[in-house]
Amino acid sequence: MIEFLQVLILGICLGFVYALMVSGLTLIFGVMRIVNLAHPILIICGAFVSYWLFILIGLDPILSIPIAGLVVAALGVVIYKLIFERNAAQQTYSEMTVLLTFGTAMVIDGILSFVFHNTQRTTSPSYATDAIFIGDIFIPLAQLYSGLVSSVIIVGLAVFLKYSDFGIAIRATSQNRTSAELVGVNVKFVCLISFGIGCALAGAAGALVSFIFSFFPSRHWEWIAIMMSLVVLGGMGSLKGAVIGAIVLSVVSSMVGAFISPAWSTMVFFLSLFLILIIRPKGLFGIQSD
Amino acid sequence: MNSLLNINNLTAGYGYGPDIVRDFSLTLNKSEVKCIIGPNGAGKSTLLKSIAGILKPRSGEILFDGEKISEKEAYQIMRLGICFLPQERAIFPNLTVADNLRMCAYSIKDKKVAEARIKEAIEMFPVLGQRLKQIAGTMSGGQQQQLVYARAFTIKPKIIMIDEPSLGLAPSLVEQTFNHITQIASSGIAVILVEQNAIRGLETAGYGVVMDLGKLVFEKPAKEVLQDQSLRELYLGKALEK
Repeated sequence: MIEFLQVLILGICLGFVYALMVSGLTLIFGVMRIVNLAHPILIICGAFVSYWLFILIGLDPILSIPIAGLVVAALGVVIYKLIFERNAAQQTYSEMTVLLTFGTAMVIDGILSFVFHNTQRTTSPSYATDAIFIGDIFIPLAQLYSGLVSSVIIVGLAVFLKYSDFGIAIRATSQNRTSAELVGVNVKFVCLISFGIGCALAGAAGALVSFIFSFFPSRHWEWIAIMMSLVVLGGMGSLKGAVIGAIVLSVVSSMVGAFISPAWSTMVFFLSLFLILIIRPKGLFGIQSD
Repeated sequence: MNSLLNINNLTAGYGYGPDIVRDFSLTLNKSEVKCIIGPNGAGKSTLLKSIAGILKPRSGEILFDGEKISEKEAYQIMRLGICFLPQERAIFPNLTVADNLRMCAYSIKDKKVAEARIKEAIEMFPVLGQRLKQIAGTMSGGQQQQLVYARAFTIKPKIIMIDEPSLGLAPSLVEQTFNHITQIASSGIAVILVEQNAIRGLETAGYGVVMDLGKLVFEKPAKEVLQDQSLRELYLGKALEK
């Protein structure tokens, strides 16, 4: 029983981190129909920012979240301006973005690998190896903090999207660009900012990832598939779906890892991806395409 | 003196396709209501889209209050005071009614004014007030229509363009919709109406504009168009036989 609770809590903590990792991906898809395969490499970029800030000036990775977010957002805005904006009107845009972002991911991966080499790194703040006990349940602080911080950021994002004028404009744009334009929304600007926010979320996730996983530039390939399975379960474009998908799959994969075999835990993501695409391709809360 | 809206020799079309609107000119004065009629494929909807800025004109110019708008973005044109209600229901079906109304008032910078306008619109359409938390797409067709027309009263544009307001509506709703349009017109907003139901459209409008193959055929006071037997046969088609 205790082992079960232990695995459940760790799974939920990790689930929130996964949710943060995919929240930007799903936001960008929802607003712009960009399937951003470069999202995981942007998370790695965020992790590198936090890593170097920690190594060079000793800044705690949780405190470096805003910086990692801003740096990656700036990078994202440049990518968006260079690659996506001029193609936005094309008919095959959404399909095209898969190739464009795949290429972008390869380029960034190549640059990072060249500069930093593919050695495993991890940020090691004091709490990274610490843990607390609640009764007999053992909770590593790194997982606990990263889960808490992720949930705070996700709630913040949800509140922003639900209640602010700009957030409503983002949701309106994701439903129907033309209708949004016709009520006076500057759709191009909304897209640019949404892409920036999505990338900032990747950067923020990167800061957390830097101390709960070890990372190296080429690790993003492995994350692409996992992240896709999370958003596909929840439904592409739905934040609620992404959060639920991330937590469910994280818990299930932790359970499988603990009670069956760690070798099978990654399988959960792919198996679920496989099943969802057969049974309910638009996911649990997926948006319908226009 | 300049009219409110001047369309001069407008030509427009889609992608690499042929010109749909050809060398079309029209003026609209303050508080005027003009109904554009013509057969399918005459270019009526395309004309409205070019004015709204969703479709960039190929040549010609559009002046609004003397200012050239034909190169502006759709959201800028809307903010100047031209509101376009396209054929598909112009609401956000997955947002709540309250959020839809907030989006209607999105272009109003002063938040207090925006709130007051939303309140006004709710007074006008009390049903919306009772359903603020409901997802707009789950309301009945008539209620969704009210939400569409609430926009006109929220932003108080100078011109409102309505594309096929009665398309796909039940007869009782057609009546309700034309009442909304009359209401809008009587509040001093100029209206350009494109309507399949030509007779009903012309009864609401001051002027009838006949368009065919992208060109202006003629423009006359709506009453004359309705009374002229040969015109009725030519352009109002089967409506005559009823």
